[in-house]
Amino acid sequence: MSEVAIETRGLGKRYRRLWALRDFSVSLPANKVVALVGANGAGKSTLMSMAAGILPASQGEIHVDGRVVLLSQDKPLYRTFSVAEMLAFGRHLNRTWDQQRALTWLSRFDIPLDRPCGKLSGGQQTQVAMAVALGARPAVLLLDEPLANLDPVARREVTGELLAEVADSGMTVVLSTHVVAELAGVGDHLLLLSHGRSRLDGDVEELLAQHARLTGPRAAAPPVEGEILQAQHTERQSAFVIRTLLGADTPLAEPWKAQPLTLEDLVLAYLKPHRSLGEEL
Amino acid sequence: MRGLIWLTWRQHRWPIVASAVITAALVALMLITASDLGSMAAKCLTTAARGDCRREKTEAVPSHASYLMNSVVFLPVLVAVFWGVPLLAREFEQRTLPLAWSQDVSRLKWLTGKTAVMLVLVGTMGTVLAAASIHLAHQYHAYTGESLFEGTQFQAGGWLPLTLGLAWLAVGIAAGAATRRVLVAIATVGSLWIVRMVGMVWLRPRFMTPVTLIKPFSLTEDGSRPAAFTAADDMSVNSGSVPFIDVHGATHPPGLVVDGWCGSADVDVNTCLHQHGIIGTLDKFQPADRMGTFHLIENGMNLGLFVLALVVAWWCVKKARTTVG
Repeated sequence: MSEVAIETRGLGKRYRRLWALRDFSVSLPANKVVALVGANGAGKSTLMSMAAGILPASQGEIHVDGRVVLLSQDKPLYRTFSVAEMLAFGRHLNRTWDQQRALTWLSRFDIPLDRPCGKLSGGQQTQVAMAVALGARPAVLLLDEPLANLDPVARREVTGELLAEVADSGMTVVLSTHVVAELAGVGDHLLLLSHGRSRLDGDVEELLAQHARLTGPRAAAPPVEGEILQAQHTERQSAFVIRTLLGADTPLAEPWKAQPLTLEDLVLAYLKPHRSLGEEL
Repeated sequence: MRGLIWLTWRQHRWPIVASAVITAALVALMLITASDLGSMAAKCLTTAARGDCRREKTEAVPSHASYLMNSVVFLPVLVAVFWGVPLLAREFEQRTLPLAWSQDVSRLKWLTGKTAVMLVLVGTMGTVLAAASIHLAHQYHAYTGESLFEGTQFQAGGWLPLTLGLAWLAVGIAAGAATRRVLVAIATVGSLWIVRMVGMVWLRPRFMTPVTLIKPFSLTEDGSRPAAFTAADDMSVNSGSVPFIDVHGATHPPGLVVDGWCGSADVDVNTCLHQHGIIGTLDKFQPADRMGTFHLIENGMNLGLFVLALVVAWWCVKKARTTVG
């Protein structure tokens, strides 16, 4: 199996005059959970749709290694189909189908097979859509903001099960979201989109190790070199989120302190618009 | 393909079952009515019963036949509404297309497969209905003497119900693909159907240049009124107003002759016509031997509409944006 699950070169998608994605080149690793993050309209769904092959690119190219299945944002199901018929749908329309895998997923969440999908709760519909997606045995599973209508407990349970599936099957999961809290403990690789372009791309651990929040006496600039992502000031204190080689391990002169960032902090630092630079606390 | 057959059946099974039941009922009724008309026509041939033969289309059995033929003629618009429109419009409305198109079946293969299944079903039902309606039209013609080249009899014959059904299935699919809304697509189909109905009434007699002929009078047995000679299967293009012609070749509107000159109760019509030099009517018509050509032309138009509608549907599906960034 290739080490790269999805590779794009100069990829672009234009809707009339508006570029949803432009000059986009990335390599996403295989057998990982890739967190695809960005504000609404950043181009996440467009990238997912192009990777799934249901949306043609306006320019550039995209290559996906192996079978790809997209579970889109609104998790569409045929409302009059029973859950069992939705599995039959998956079986009939896919060359490869793992009925047992789909049934196992449904039984984990106690989904009744004979109930019409239209009469299931939003969370149960999510599980049916997930079962259909997993039953197709994709090499790459694209999940486009799929957990939005799950409560926090169910969300954690689903992501936990997904991680187990990734570990068991060697599948790559690309999890798109703008709810940063969904990502805690889930993503191995982070791809952050902003205005149709890649803003940050890399292994989550490595990225976290390269970023830090520095706090110290009020100053116009941090005491070390690095890319300043955020700067906030009070009368007596300044705080900077910066990208440096050593991150939170950067040696600093007293009284400056370096703190590691959480994944949520990291993403928010990049998602916040540039006007926050120099913003007064 | 088996998967798409299953999916099409599962999604559209109620329209399919309902259509099959309606087809069976209509075919049974048409065959029974045709049989009754055949018996009535045969009875009229016997000398003893000839006096009782009214041979009028307002009688119960010919009326039923007329209703049945009209039903068949209007079925294609129902095919468009209940089969064609939901194929894409309902999926667009319920946002299920990303699900369907993200399986191992491409969107064009999906469209081709589902459309093919529907075409086979509509084609099968249409063939049976068209065969029964042709048979009924002939029996109706045999009893009433109404031209097979006119109105409903023409539209019920020549396999037009079949090609019209296929064409309007495609129109329904295309309307659903273009509008992406079931109700809007139905309104579009309804409007197009009205345009087609009105347009064909105007266009059909103009497929070929009509023949103009002076048809001399023969008198009815009691000699009380003129009976214009008409060949049994001509298509009249006079729009019901056949001008009279006199010995000098001048034409006179029927209102002037029948209601004006010869309209009084005490006037003998035959004598009146002779007094005014009326020798017959000036008929414009499409002769009966053109009926096959006319059916061929109209079937060709249906086929053209079928192809055009499928191209529109294919283009819309190809260009359909199923997500936004």
